[in-house]
Amino acid sequence: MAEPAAAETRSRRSRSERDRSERDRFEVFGDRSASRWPLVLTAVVMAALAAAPVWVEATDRGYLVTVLTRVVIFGLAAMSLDLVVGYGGMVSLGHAAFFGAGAYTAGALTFHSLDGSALLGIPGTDQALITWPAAAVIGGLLGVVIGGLSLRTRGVYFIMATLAFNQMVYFLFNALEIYGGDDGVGLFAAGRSIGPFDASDDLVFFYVCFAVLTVSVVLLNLVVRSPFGRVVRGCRDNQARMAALGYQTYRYRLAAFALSASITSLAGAMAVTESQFLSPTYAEWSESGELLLMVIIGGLGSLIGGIIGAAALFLLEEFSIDVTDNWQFFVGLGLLAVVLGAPRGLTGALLGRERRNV
Amino acid sequence: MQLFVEQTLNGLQLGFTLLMVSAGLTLIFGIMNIINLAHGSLFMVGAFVAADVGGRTGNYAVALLAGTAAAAVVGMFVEFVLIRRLYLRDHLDQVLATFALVLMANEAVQMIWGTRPGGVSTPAFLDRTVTVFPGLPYPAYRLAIIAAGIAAISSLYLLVDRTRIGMWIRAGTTHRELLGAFGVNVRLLYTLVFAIGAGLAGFAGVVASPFLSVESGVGDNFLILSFVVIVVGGIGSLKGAVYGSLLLGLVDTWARTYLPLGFDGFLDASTAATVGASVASASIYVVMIVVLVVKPNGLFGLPDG
Repeated sequence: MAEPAAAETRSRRSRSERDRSERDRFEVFGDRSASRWPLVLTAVVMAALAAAPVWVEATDRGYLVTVLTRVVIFGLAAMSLDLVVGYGGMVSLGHAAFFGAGAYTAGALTFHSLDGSALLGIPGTDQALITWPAAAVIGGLLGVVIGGLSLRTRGVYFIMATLAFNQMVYFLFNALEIYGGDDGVGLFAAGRSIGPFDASDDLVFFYVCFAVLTVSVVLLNLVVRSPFGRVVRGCRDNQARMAALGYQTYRYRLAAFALSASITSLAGAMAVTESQFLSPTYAEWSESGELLLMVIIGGLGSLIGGIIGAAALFLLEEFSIDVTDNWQFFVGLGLLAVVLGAPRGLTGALLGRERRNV
Repeated sequence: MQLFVEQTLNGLQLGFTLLMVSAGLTLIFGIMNIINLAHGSLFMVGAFVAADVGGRTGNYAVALLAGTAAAAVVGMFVEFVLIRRLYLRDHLDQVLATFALVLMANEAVQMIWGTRPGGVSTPAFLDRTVTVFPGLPYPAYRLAIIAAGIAAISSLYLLVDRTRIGMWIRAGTTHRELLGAFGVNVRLLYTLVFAIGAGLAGFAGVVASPFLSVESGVGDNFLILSFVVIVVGGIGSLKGAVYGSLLLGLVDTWARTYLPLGFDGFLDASTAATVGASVASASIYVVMIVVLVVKPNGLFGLPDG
């Protein structure tokens, strides 16, 4: 009689070990998420990012400020993708659709303000205090639609469905001849008005974007630690158990997806204001892959990892583009090395967690 | 009526091209449970190698053979070096590793062949029209693609359903360990299946290239269309791939023809063309949305499979 009991204990232990390894897969910090180290790392990275423009200006490399601004913008998008992939366990390969939606919301409003024409009866504006929140709202709504449909599926289907919706949105933007079709349209005549300020200066604009990022970092860290965040993480680890506990898992997952879509869309709007150029490339499917790549390089389920990944990618681009036009080949090679050799990304390496056993 | 017959044939031609890509993708997924984003890159390898060889020899048959073989060999190599390390990983790792392959492949073709888009021209003996319907001359090459598609898919079906290797392949989807215990080299079998899928994608890349500009990333759109096919048809199901591809090929072609005409009734001509074109480009996704709402596992997918 003792033997079956022992076997049961063994299987129960392996069950909980498997659950833990699943959780560790998606969250770099794993059981330590309650500890202070993730927040310390977050604070260090944010402080370094805040100081970076001062440092590059001081060392006479002011042209790098725009690169840093792109790190902030794409890091914001990657961080919000991490909410879905790392904490929600939903592998979205379609987040460029939301990035593009934000870009087209802000870009279209700016275009019509330059043009003096109306967009569906609404006058255009290049005021970021209007275009950015508008982009966040549109992105959130699109997230509800795309997420609502895609979340009817699971696993590989979910990946394929989000990618397909990404392509649909991309082709829709391509068909918008008024904004230059697939060539896009320049919005260089527009200023970068933020409330009463003019943020045309690159350094000022960096700190405006950095402020948005800081608010988002705080917000998302509060969200993942809130009861809502715990339910979303619970759905990732064991959806059936969460459903049995009485949670409407679909709604929780959809809410997390829409929040992420909304922030990604906000980042898309910021990207258009930064580049003053609107084109469908923002919504290209490879952009979705690159956002995912940033999250993985930085470290899944850490939030700050998205920003670290964006920094790593843009700095690699900046310094290797002089050496070779085909720098993306080496990005691919590096990504392969990370996936095969260090699945926890840079954050995992920094915090020195042991590698998961596959 | 002539327009309808012509567009239906165009739709079938697109459908069969799509089928050759998605059949390999769904076969690989069904058996090895792996999502391969680099499948579109194999399509691209086929098109590029065929453009190169075709340019040198001027012989379409040689180019077709070279393109197909190159894709199969590259597929085999990639399976051997990388993909087999991913079988036991989760889908996120598979997506990332194969996305890395896409990045590398898109750059590699530029390093080898430059950014100048090449192309394969239609073979001379098919460069004519056939009267398929009273008063409707139709390009013979397009008919040949439909025929080639039927031939390729029929032989794939016969291989999977009627041969010993096919029996192993089917057994491998559900009873991998048992198959190994019976002395079948499962690793080699997987490599073979991957090569078959890669070869089909390369073949599709060659036959479709007269209609495409052969450039870096040319296969990516076919990859995503194949995903739509799989979501619509049901995953891992060859039957689903057949119906899904043909359905989407026809819907896309009909929508592109008839929607601009339909909007003509109540909009002025140029607006009708623009609105029609943008709605038409979304038509296959509308099909996908309907399927997701009605049957989330696809038309021929198993419940919760």
